[in-house]
Amino acid sequence: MTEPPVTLRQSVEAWERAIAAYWDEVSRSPEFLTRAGQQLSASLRSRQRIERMLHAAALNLALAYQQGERQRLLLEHLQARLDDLSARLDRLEQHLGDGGAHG
Amino acid sequence: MAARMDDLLEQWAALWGAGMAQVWRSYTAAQDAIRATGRTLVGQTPARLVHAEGSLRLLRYLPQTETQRPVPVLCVPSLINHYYVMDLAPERSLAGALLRRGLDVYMLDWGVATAADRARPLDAYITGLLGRCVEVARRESGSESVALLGYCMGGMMAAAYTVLAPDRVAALVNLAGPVNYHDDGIYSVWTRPEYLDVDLLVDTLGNIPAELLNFTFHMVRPSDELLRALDYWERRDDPAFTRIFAAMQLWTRDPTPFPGEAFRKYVKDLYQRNALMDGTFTIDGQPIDLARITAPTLTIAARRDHIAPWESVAVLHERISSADRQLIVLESGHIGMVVGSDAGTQLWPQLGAWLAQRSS
Repeated sequence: MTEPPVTLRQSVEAWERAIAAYWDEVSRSPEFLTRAGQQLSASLRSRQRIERMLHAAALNLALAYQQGERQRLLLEHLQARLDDLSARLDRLEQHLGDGGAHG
Repeated sequence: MAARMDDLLEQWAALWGAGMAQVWRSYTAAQDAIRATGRTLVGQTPARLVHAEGSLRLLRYLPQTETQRPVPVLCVPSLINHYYVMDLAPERSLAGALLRRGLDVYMLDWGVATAADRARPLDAYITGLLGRCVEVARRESGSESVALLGYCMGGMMAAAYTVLAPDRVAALVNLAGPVNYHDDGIYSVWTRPEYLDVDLLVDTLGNIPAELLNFTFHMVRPSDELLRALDYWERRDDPAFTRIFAAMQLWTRDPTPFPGEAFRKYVKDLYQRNALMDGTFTIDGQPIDLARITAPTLTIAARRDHIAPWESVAVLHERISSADRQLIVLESGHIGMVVGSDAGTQLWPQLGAWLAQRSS
């Protein structure tokens, strides 16, 4: 009597049982768990460091922006004063010119 | 161990060549369609929203019988999985089965935790959110007390609430909710303090992302996915099968984030200290002494449960003081017991009959 053919399902199920048992053994072993735990902790600490760096960079950026904005406002203020002075000079010159013509 | 792995890899290469490659490609290519189908099926039992709070919703299912039993049943799912596992598809719905028994069924949907939920302690989920849902169910139904049906982590939450508010609970069902966390389960091993720094995890991530939880669930038995692929391949032309398959696939790949502070307490107190077993677990400063439970209690465990091993669930049956108590151990797995093909002949009738007797 010949053996019935082994189906793909039977083969995969047998293989899955074997790999699952292997994985269960590995994933419970202190060596594996210690390394996995250390790697997770290291990743989390790296993330904390990156977040702190990004936070500091964002803060510096905000400060630089604030400083730039202050300088821009100062320049605008100076420009306005210069424009004002220039207008006053124009009016003075005009006045003096008009006075000369009348005198 | 390395030699064994070499053998397994060699065998895998043979299987891949023998047709598994085609099975796997077909399965992965169908994922989007499977999820889309799943979305049309889950949570379809007609219900009315009776309470909402942040991301939480409380649903009251519309009756399916002419008369309803007076004591409402409040379903409490796990904090980290969508409630719709208890209403997976019209033909595979635990909620539907209870409704057909004439029960007045409420469903707590925790929703998806956001940054606003990060600081909410586990205590507030039990005495605050769950407590308010109990009050709404009492008010809506006009009943003095409710029957609590907690599934998975919801079982622990329902039991803790029963200890704290015994006059509000007419009956308690713990469906696959672990009580003894120092068991043989893989999560019990993975969460040991020497391997998992819970404070670092929560302080860094806040809420524990759904993707991380999904990865963790998947890593319990990653090779299982191959059998799912084969199931799909073999029965992809059977609509009755593919509907449930799609809904299940959606649910198993769709966890919700675990709120950060709740996770911290859950893992540190329960998994790492096993505080529910030694009587040191507290909620809002009050000890959760399971011996104070006197309400009729049904404990249901599954013998092939690898998430909450049946012995760790069955402990509740031994710890409580209820005169009316029953323990059922089903020959299924953690999820299969609720939505598997034999749920309709195993869990639903036994649970429905038990609740119906205690909801009159």
